[in-house]
Amino acid sequence: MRIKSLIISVTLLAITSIVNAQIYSVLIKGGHVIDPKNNIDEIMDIAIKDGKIALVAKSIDTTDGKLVIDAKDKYVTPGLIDMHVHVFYGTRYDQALMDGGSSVSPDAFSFRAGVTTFVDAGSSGCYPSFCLESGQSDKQT
Amino acid sequence: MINRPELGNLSVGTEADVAIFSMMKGNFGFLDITGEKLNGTQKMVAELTIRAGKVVWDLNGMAATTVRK
Repeated sequence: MRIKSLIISVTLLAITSIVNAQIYSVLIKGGHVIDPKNNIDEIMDIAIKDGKIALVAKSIDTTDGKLVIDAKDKYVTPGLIDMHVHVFYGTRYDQALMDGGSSVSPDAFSFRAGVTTFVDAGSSGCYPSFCLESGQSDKQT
Repeated sequence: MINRPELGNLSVGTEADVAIFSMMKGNFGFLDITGEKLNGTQKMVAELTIRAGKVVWDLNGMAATTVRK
């Protein structure tokens, strides 16, 4: 009899732990999702697991998320892509177009604007004419 | 265009890059590079940014727990 009740309680515990398992690392709730590719322009929940989008649905259970973010009255979009940047930040302040100071540090200026992808429109190295002007090239005539 | 079809959308299975914005209301000036401005009454602010599932920007601590008094 005792063994029987023990088995029952262990089984119950197992079921409860499965039910309460936090499936998603991040759960964004109640935000106005804008995702043109998937034709979404309404209030939706987004679940993230293993660094990937796991589920986008009208209502995802709060208990399924380890980190639950309340996005009520906010817009939720795919991480923005900045299509034209020049990021060549570095310590050589005597240089103009590479490893120098006339650029921004990418991590410091992307994330704070909701940008997760930078497209560098050409930075490293330099144009022969620029190099000549700033005396960076050893091909000077 | 940049041959990264997994970016810029929230399809299931793609990189979890997500941004959350709030719309502020008030009087704002939007400066351009020449120093001139356009006046506006709304301003979109990046509240939280997630890159590959990790919170990398959290302006007002949306993802943080509150300090216990």
